[in-house]
Amino acid sequence: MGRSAGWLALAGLLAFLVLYPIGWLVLESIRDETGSLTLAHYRAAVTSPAFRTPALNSFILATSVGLLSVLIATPMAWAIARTDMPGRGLMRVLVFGSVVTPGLLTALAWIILAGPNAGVLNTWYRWFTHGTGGVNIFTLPGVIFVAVMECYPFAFLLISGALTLVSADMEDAASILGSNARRTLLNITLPLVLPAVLAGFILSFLEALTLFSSPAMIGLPARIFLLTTEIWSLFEFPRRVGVAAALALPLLLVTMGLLWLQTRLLGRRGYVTLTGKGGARRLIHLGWMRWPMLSFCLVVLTCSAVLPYVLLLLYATARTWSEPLGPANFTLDHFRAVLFSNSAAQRAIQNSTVLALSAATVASALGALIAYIAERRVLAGGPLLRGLAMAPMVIPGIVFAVGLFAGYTRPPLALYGTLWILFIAYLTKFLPYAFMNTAAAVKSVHPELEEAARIAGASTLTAFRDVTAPLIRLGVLAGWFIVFIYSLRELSASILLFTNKTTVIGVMMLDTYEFGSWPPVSALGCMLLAVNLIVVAAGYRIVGVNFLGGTKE
Amino acid sequence: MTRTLKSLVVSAGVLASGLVWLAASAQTPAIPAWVSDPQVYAAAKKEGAVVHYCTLPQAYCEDIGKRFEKHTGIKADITRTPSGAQYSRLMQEHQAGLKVTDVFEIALVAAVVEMKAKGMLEPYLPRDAVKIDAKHREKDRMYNEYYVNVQFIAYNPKRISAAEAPKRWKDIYDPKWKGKLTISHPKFSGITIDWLLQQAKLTGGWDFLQKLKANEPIVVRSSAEAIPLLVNGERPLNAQSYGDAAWEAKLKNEPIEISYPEEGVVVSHDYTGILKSAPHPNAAKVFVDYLFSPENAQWMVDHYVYATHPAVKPPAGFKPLNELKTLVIDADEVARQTQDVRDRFSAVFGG
Repeated sequence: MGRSAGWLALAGLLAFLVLYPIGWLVLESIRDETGSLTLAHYRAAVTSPAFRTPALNSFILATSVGLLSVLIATPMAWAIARTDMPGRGLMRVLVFGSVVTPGLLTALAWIILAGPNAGVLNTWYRWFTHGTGGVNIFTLPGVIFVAVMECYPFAFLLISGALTLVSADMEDAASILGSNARRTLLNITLPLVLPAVLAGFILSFLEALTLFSSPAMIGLPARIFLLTTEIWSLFEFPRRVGVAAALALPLLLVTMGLLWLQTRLLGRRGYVTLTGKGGARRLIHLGWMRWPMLSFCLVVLTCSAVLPYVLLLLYATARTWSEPLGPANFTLDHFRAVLFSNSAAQRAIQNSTVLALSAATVASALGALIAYIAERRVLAGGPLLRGLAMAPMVIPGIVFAVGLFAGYTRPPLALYGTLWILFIAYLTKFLPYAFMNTAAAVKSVHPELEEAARIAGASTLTAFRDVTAPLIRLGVLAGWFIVFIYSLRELSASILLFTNKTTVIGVMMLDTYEFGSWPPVSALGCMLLAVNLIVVAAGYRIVGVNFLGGTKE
Repeated sequence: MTRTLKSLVVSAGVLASGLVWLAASAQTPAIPAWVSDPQVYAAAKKEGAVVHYCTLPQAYCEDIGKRFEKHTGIKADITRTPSGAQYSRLMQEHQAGLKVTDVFEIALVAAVVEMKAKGMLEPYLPRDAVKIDAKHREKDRMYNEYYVNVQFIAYNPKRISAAEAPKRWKDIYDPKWKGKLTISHPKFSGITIDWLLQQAKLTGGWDFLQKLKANEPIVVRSSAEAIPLLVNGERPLNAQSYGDAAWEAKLKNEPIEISYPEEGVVVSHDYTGILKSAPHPNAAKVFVDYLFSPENAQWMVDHYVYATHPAVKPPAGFKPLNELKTLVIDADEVARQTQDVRDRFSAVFGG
């Protein structure tokens, strides 16, 4: 009894974190201006033709992004984690670059690259062909493309994490039985990482559903309206928060549906890859396939990391963007402004770093424990906990902020104007990422390891701490980094919760972008990358494990 | 206590506080000339702080705060938010019964009118606001404007010659600008409501929306977002460029030129006012005094913002508000028509 009290308290904490703001949101969705109960908001959400096309567009976007992300991430993760493809270290660095690129910058880069009139790629193409053809980013495929570039790295992290854990035992067994490399891959390795692939799909699908940057920067200008931009517009005049809540809350059912589907698809089959018997992991020889594989990875990473960052650096160091680049047009003023003369930017960088570090630490610890409870069924209602932990993901940040605002601005939890309200916002909003990453890791560790500890007299908590936790460290770490990276650039919930003293990087970036200044945005983006790099490098030194799957030699 | 003793104590108290006041006033600088009421000023100094939401660029907000603090010793806590987000916050705070914000400044007319109707505003007319044109003041003194947003046409001179560039508003509907134009979406950009209303007035109806659509414009969220697209040549013509954003690019020698349409520039309101729930009601008044002061107006104009105070010297090349032909619509009418304008726009452009 005493032992499970700790677990119960944890489950209670999770339930409070998630249900308290959502409860306020539900209340907001069923009451009108005067406070009396009404279903008018739901009626408006369902019957208003204004939401139909955006909803359809959003589902097309989410499905395409989910599928394409997994299709890109799976072969890449396999090639980088398990084969002897050359340049894997560099690829890891570039994947890292893609992970930390905020959507705003990816979208900005692709407007500069593939704008129909003056896009760099189009100008080159027309110069080579003397023709008029080219690509136009301001289209639905354009939005999907940029969204995939933003979302696939997360699927990659999940899948590559799982692939690193697959021991060579089963693959060896297959080859002893006469299976060739391709068959082993298709029949053994891929099925073993299926949970991670599915999780990758779900993560990118849900992520794309609430994405803000590419819908606002590429979709809206091209008059492709998506659910997120519509929901944002409900916060303009006339403010219709009830309708926004009524549009967002049903998305919770989508999350539940996807999680249920995941359980059904995976069924009772075992996906345990890490057992008590050890087993070495060897690299697979690709032969001539190394080069096509390498080109594939290079093309994807060029689109998601190299091009955005090259442009970012060029813009961040250009005096004017309309003149040719060169020593005469080179300046460090934008960096100087961000670092020294703009006190709001300094405050934002400091606040965001503190928030990201603390949110990541608490979220990954909480996420790991909850993943453990849910997967190992320490308590009854594991699936319920899983649903709870995933719920915040699908509610757009700005809508979630309404629930947080209502919940955490009244005594005894009057946190408005402090960093605490942002901390709770980030912790709750990004808990799903921490949870998802560790859940995949817990699934792959055989319970026999813990059972051995239990037989030797350890409690569940001790067994978790001493046996399972070290084994799932990679997943927890991946979760930590993702929460850190996301918190560092969070915008959509912060926009309603920050104040002058508690301003954050995401808000600063949107501000500078909306004032029509690309160079300062680029300089801020470079700073963001720098903070990420420093923290990840420090993490690598301290923990000795790289969250991209590499292990320190 | 006897009567005499009582009066003795009272007069001693008065004397003592007078001495304290004298000592204090010897240390601090004199009351600034722009302050409306010295008593309010004294009370404001006791409050010691003012909380302000503003939509100007972050750097401008910081500068206003520093200058105000230097003059008064009152700390100005200024948060920069876009108009839509600011409106959401003010409503949110109102609903939760929070008393955290003193002064707002917002470019969303309908929101201000709604706040007035809900009784959220405290009437106040700063001393210098009397000098500005009556069309920038509200009749019940609930909100006034110390600066306005001015919209004109901007073009990229590398792609469009001065001769070719639109001279009148109706020129932007010429089919030759197909694929070259940017406009803003009225759902996200408050100042676009005024712009659309003026276009309807000038062209006599709403058919212009179809002509605009035929030119396949890119529709941005915030008007300033159009400037980088203009400068890099992606969209060389911006049908509703505005004030400081265009000027900032121009000052950096980016290829951008302004065309002031013959019919006049579109002025959209940007209102400043005090909340009834202000935690620092006196400091709020003094702060608003400062926003409307000639000193602040001069700083604004020096930074290419269209201040309403007439006593300003514009920098070279900049036409201040009183030298421009302007098109202004009454705030109440803008508020009344906001939803209708958005619906009309959405019916043609979607969203």
